[in-house]
Amino acid sequence: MKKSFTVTLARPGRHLISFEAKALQLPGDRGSLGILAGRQPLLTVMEPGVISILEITEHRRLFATTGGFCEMIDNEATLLCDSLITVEELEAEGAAGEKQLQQAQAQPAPPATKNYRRDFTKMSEAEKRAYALTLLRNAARG
Amino acid sequence: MASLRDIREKIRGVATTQQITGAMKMMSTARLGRAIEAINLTKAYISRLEHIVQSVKRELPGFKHPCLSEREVKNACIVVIGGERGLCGGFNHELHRFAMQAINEHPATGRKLAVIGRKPVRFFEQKGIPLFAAWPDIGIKSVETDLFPISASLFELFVSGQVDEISVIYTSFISATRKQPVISRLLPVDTGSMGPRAENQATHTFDFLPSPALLFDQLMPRYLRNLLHRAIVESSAAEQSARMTAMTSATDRAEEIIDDLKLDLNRSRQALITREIAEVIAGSQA
Repeated sequence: MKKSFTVTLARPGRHLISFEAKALQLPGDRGSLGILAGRQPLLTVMEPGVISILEITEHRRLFATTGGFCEMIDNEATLLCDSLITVEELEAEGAAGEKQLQQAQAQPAPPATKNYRRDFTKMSEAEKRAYALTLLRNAARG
Repeated sequence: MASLRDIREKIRGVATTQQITGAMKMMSTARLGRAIEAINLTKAYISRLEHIVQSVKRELPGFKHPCLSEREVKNACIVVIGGERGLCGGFNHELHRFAMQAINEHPATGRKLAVIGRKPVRFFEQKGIPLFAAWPDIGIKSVETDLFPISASLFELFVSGQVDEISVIYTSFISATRKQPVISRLLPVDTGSMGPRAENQATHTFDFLPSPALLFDQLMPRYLRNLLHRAIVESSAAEQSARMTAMTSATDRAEEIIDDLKLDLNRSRQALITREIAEVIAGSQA
């Protein structure tokens, strides 16, 4: 059985990013979704949140996304993200990023639906981004 | 005959214009390079979105969704994507002429016209054609953020049944020397026009999270947004390419004018010298 699989991250107007991964965790439609090598073909919606990729070198990579899709087929996961922010990009933003994060943390969390799921449908793109950035900062802090 | 001073001033004026057109040509070349890269990246993203649509269609042959089923076209929304600025030869004029013809020949009885770009907005306003929506300030730089509300409003128009079809008119970028205004249907999606899926042709048993219908509800606005994104970047590349060609011609023409003026200047100067010599000789003989 294969121990790794390819993860490709795509976002509009940007180059594709590919990794050889052992595990992938993404903000799925019904909460956090873990994917390992050899998984059955899957098509799922991604909600705003953090994508975590455990590379074959045991290095963990974190990205914030405002939503998108994930297709897993033939041991290859393709993540079509509306937007993608890395921890490095977040840190590179410096003071502006810090201010943005403080504003993001001041925002109330999105309301939960009857199914205890976050309701992102009424959130603007800026609010989704702020929410995803907060989660990314928390995840990066460990 | 113009004096030497007048000719020198003319040469200086044309040279200044030549510097401006030369600078604009260089800027257009750089912007064209960026726009071509953006086209390729957008195409790569769209092809992956199309893979997903094809996966669903292949796995669930009987699957129906409003965005995939053909309807009788009574009302249509036509989105015209045009240029931001002038000084690009016949780029804007060609698009406007094509758009007017395509709109008049469209089979729908009710037509809603939405326009993206400063030039076509001004054109339709001057013609007195009512616009359903106008977004004059959307450019390649702001396209990523500004397209979210636009595509959402267009998608809402389609799913609510207010229109039966959404089409886009824009200038397709074929190569740096070839560009052509085209009309293309965005919704309902024509899956036949999607490129064949080269890999993974075998059928699989997919897990759909959530259900295919809900998944499509979220997929289609993104698909529409990215098709609009591609049309905008293609239009921008075509505009830059047209501007580059126009500015190259202008720079070359300025060079020709300067050469002609220099010839005139030398002729005038020579005539002046000859006249002065003739006057000196005539004076000495007298």
